[in-house]
This record gives sequence, C-alpha cells and structure tokens, in this order.
Amino acid sequence: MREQRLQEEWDRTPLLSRKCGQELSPVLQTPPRLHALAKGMMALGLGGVVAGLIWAPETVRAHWLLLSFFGVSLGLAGTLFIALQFVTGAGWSVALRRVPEAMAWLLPVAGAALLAGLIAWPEFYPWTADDYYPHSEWKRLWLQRPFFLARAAIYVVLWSALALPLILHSRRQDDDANFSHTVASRRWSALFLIVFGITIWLASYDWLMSRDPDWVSTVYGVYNFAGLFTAGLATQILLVIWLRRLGPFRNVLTEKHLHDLGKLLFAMSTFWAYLWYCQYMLIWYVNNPEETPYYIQRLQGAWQPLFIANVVLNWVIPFCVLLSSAAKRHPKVLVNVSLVVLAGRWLDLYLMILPEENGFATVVVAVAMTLGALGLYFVVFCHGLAQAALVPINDPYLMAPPKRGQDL
Amino acid sequence: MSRRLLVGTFTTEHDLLEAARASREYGYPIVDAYTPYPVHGLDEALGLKPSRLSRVCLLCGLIGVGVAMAFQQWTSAIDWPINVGGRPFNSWPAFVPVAFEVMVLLAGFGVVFAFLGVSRLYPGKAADGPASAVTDDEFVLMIEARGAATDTEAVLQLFQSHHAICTEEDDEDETAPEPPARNWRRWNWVLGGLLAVTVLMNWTLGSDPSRPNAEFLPEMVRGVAGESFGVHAELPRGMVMQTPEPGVIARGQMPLHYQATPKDAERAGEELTNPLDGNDARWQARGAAVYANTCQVCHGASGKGDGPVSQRGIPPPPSYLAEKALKMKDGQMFHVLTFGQVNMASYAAQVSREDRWAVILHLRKLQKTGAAP
Repeated sequence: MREQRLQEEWDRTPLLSRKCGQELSPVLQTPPRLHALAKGMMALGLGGVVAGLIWAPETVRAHWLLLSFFGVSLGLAGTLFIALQFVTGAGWSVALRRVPEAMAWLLPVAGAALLAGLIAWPEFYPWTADDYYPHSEWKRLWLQRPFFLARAAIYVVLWSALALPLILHSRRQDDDANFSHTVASRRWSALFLIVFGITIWLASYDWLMSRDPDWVSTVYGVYNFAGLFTAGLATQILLVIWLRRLGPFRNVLTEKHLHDLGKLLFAMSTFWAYLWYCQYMLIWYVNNPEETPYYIQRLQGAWQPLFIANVVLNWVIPFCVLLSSAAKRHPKVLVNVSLVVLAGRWLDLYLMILPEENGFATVVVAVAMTLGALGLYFVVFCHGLAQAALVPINDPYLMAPPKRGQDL
Repeated sequence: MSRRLLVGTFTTEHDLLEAARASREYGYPIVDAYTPYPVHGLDEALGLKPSRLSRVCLLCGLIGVGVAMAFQQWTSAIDWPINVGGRPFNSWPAFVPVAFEVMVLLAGFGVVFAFLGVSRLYPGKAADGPASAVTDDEFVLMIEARGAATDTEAVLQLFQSHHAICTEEDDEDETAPEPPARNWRRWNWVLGGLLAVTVLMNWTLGSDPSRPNAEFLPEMVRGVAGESFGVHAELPRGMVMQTPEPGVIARGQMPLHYQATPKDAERAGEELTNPLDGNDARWQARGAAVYANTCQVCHGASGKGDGPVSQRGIPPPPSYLAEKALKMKDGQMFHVLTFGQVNMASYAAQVSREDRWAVILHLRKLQKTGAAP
C-alpha cells in the first residue's frame, strides 16, 4: 500500500529530484588542487607530530586529544543533525542530507585517533598517577584505567554503529525508492538520540573534565553538546556553500536552506552562551574552593584574553552578525561567521584541555597539527561525499512531505 | 464603499500556494489568504513585505535589558548596597539572569501586543474570516475584482485549475456596521474584568488598616527556622536563644580573673604583659588613634592631664610623667583601663581589649618623648 501510494506521488508530481538526478554528477569530483593541498596539510601535520614527539611531547598529546575530540564532535554533530531531521519529520533539509552523512564518517576516523591517544598517553590524566587519591570512593571506581578505556571504546563503537544504518538506508533508498528506509531510519535516529544524550555527557566528563579530576561541573556535558552542535552546523554551512560554488548544489541549495541553517547556528550559538554563563555564573556566585580554581586559572595572565575571546568568537560575533534575517541568507556572511564559530570551538576546547599543562604549547607544532587535522577531515568529508549521489534523489520527503494523517 | 471579492477555497496548502503565485503572476490584487495554520512560504507567495515586528521585538528586548541592568545597579550599588560574600556592589554577573528574564518578558509581551494592535485584534472581537472551515482544514484565497481581475471568469477559472473545491463571488460593504447581535460579547470581557478587579481589591484591601492585608506566600515571611529572640515550645526554657554551656568562652573573650581592687591591680601588673609588638607601626598608629578619640579629652595630647575637660573645672587626672605613672607596669595600666581607678571609670565597654593594649603602647611613647626634655 505504502509503496503504491509513494509510486503514485512519484508519478503525479514533476519531481525536482529527477531533474537533479540527471543534472548532478553521481559522485563528487574534488578539485585535484584542493585534494593535493589537503594531502600536503596532512603531511605537514604528520611532520608536526613526529617533530613534536621529539621536542615537545606534551604539546603533541594535548593537541592530539583536542583535535581528535574536535573531529569526533563534528562527526557526532552530523549524525545528530540527520537523526533530529528524521525524528521531527523535517523535509526542508533532505536535499542537503549527504553533507551531514559525510560528516558522520569522521566518527570512526577521529574516534580511532582519539582512542589511540588515550591508550598511548595515560599520564595525560592526573588521576592515573600513583599518588592521586580522589575525594570519593565512587570517583575512584569510575576513574580506573581499564574501565576508562573500555568506556571510551564503547562510546566510539556505539556512535559509529548507530550512524552506519542511517547512512546505509539513505544510500539504498537511492536505488530502490523504498519507503521502508525512511521508517527504519526514523527508528535508528530515535535510538541514536537516546544513546547520544547519555554518552556525550559521560564522554565529555571522561575525556575533558577528568583532566582536572577534583573539579566538578554538572552542566559540563550539556555545555559540550551545545558547542559540538554549533561547530557541526558551522561545518555543514561551509560544506554546502562550498558545494554550491563548486557546482553540484547550484540548483539545490536555496536561500531558504541557508536561512534555516543560519537560524539554527544563531540559536545554538546562543544556547552555548546560555550554558557557558550558567556554568560561570554559578561557580562565581557560590565561590566554592573546589570549583573556583578552574576559572581563576583561566582568568589570569595570558589566559585572560583567550578566555574573553572564547565568548566573543562563540557568541558575541555570531549573535550580532546573524541577528538580521538578511545576514542569515547571505552566503558570504554565513561563511565568515561559520569560520569564526569553528575557531571559537577550537579555542573553547583549548581552554578546557590546555591550562592543565600550565603554559602555552609550542606554537609551531600546534599549528602544524591543526592544519594536518583540517586536511585529514577535509579528505574524509570528500571521501564521504564521493560515495553517493549528492542529493538523496528518492527520498519521499524531498519534494512533498507526506500529508497529514498519512500513516508512516 | 463596497468591493467585489472572489473567493477560492482549497484543500491543500500546496494548491493555495500555487494559486497565490499564479494570481500574482497575472497581477490580480490579492486581498488576503486564510489558513488553519501558518503555511511556510505563504508570505512570499502573497508578495507580503517582511514583517517589521522583529524590530519591535529587538527594541523591547533592548529596553528590557537596559532597564533591568540599570535598576539592579541602582538598587544594589547606589540606593541600598548590600555586601554579598565580599563581592563588589555592582557585580553585573549577578544581574544578568534577571536582565535576561526581563528582556524575554518585555520582548515577548511587546511583540504580542504590537501584533494585536497592528492586526486590530482584541478579546471578544467578532470573527471576520470568510468561512469557519479556514480554522479547520480549508485554505481560502481572496482576490478583489478590480484591475487585472475585473474579468471575474478568468479568476474563477484560475481557482478551478488549482483544484479549488469551491469558488464564489461576494459583495462586501465596508461601511455597513457590524451586526449588533454580536456586540455584547466584548462587554462580557470588560464586565468580567471589572468584577475580577473589584473582588481582588475587596480581598486584598482589608478594612483594618493597622493589620497587614492578605499574605501571599506566608512561608517567605514566617520561616520555619526560629527567630533569634522568639519563643519555641520544644526548646529548653521555651526560648530560641539558649544560654551557653558552662565553661564556654566566646572567641577573643578570655576571662580576666581580677577584681576592681588596688591589690588585684598590682597583681595584674605582675602577671600580665603587653601581647603587642611595640615596634609595629600599625599598633602604634592604632594606639595613637584610640588615645586621641577616648583619652585625650581628660589626659591631654601630651598626657600631662591638661585635656579640655580638666580646663573646665573637672579635677585633672595625674600626669603620665609623674613618678607613679612612670613606675606603673603595663599589666597594672591594663587593669586601670579595664576596671577604672579613683575618678576614672572602666573603659572595658568602649575600648576593646586589643585597643587597650595599643593605647598602653602609646602611653609609653608619650612618657618617653615627654621625659626627654
């Protein structure tokens, strides 16, 4: 019955998707120069890691954790975006879905890098030291190294395993135009959202907050989720606009898409600021000696301008620039704001991870590693985008969302 | 002035959007569209200008933030400064949550009332939609029969081609008064509101002006914790305030086991020594200040007993430069300051224990400088 109805719809409406299917190249052709540039950046990053391991191992491990977590969070943001669209039954974003799908490919790649880092450098976390005694028995049990590594592996495997069916169903629908894929994706999405909500909270506690094991902030997981989704939206905006400039999205990406993405970026950036302030204000107000040192450390000396820049990049600039609806529709404005937001996310993670090292990391190694990670992630994006048609041409939501009362 | 209206009724938002777009293409003057829920893209299909309500929203929000921040600054730092945990009075991080809430409140209400005002909506207004089905499952497009749409047949044809289930021509007379039968409804709201205000006033404004009116949230006024000087049935002696356990000593209040007798004064001279460091400039300054405030009126600036009080007929106190005072030990002086001697009363209540020792430091300094020449 369903397929029949779908088929009728398909025949009745002059689907844009059919046109797209013909006009679009089935796979993305990355411009060779860009590809070479990305590979050059990767080589530079590799050189940075090797040089850093010899001269500045502390810099390498801090930036390794920062950049791989950055990658994992972009992958999570892509999957989260797809899952949210499926669960809410949104039709507006279907044409762009291949972009977050490509972002989801970062999950296994950056996840593996993160796990390797966690295994290689136990001394990165102060609680692995023999003379460290946690305040509570519960914390001692939780921060056991084998348990910690097992948890990390479970998070990464769970996320990758739940992102995979979403991508596979989407691909198969391209071939058979079967409605059942949408239904299945919706169920996987709901499951992913539940798993994600719990694991991102625990993962950010494990990987970032336990850098300072005596410090506690209960809003830390939500705060990380806000930053993660904001950066993911910024990446998505950059990729879709790049694809439009390159050609494949020229007839697909409209001003309305940009407007909606811009609104989401605006909202999530403000959500991030809200949580940033919740965390800061409560700790400032209570002035508890177990909590306040976290901020005292970050508000002194050279950290202070970075601390302020964090709020400016992540919220003040996106908020002020994207306040008008014209700005949310303007590709150049969106690209610039997205770049600012990504820099802000990097700085946010830098402030979460680095101050425990008591000093600035060696700049050259840090820059080389950051460029290397950028190159790697770009190659992963292109790889993900090149695997299927750039528009999910047979998605029933592409042209007309199913009518009210239609049983899905 | 009356106008002719052409009304097309559709069953899907898609048909309505397409019909609206086509009508605009042909230049038909669209009066309005009626839908049961907000339709995405309809404002563009109708060719409406972007709403200016967002500017009202921004303005109200800015006013909210500004007023709330300024008000809190005034209450917390200017009008009634309160020390909260040693923070500065104008601690803006503490003001932000309230400013945020006031911003949301003003922006929300401001934009709703601006919308109601612009659309001339108010409680009890008679519905002026084309048909009640537009609040349920039908979509209506209204076109005025003038200009390009004078040819009504063509317009109705266009409606038909977009799957309209019903097309009709309607004459609307704008000068006609609203049907009086519906007018009384709005008075329901006015009368109901007046009645509510009257009842509320009657309840809150009590007849006895000496007693407080109705208390909202009495837990806030009468806390579960006992008042310091209140009564409490379950505590010993029926009072909240309890006497300390025997042997308890308050901080900094070590008891002095001396009587107000010359014999005990001598004993104090033997037993007590000045705990303060005489070379510490801070204690010297403190001693000088306490001396100037408390002792100088009788003893005089140089300690010779020539203060302004004794110049007005009160018997002057002995000079510090006299033999007796020079030989007196620190502990005995402390006893004199604490319990008094001859005409001098006890200063234990006015001058703290620490300050008494600091004054003794100053006295010794006066003795040194006074004896030298």
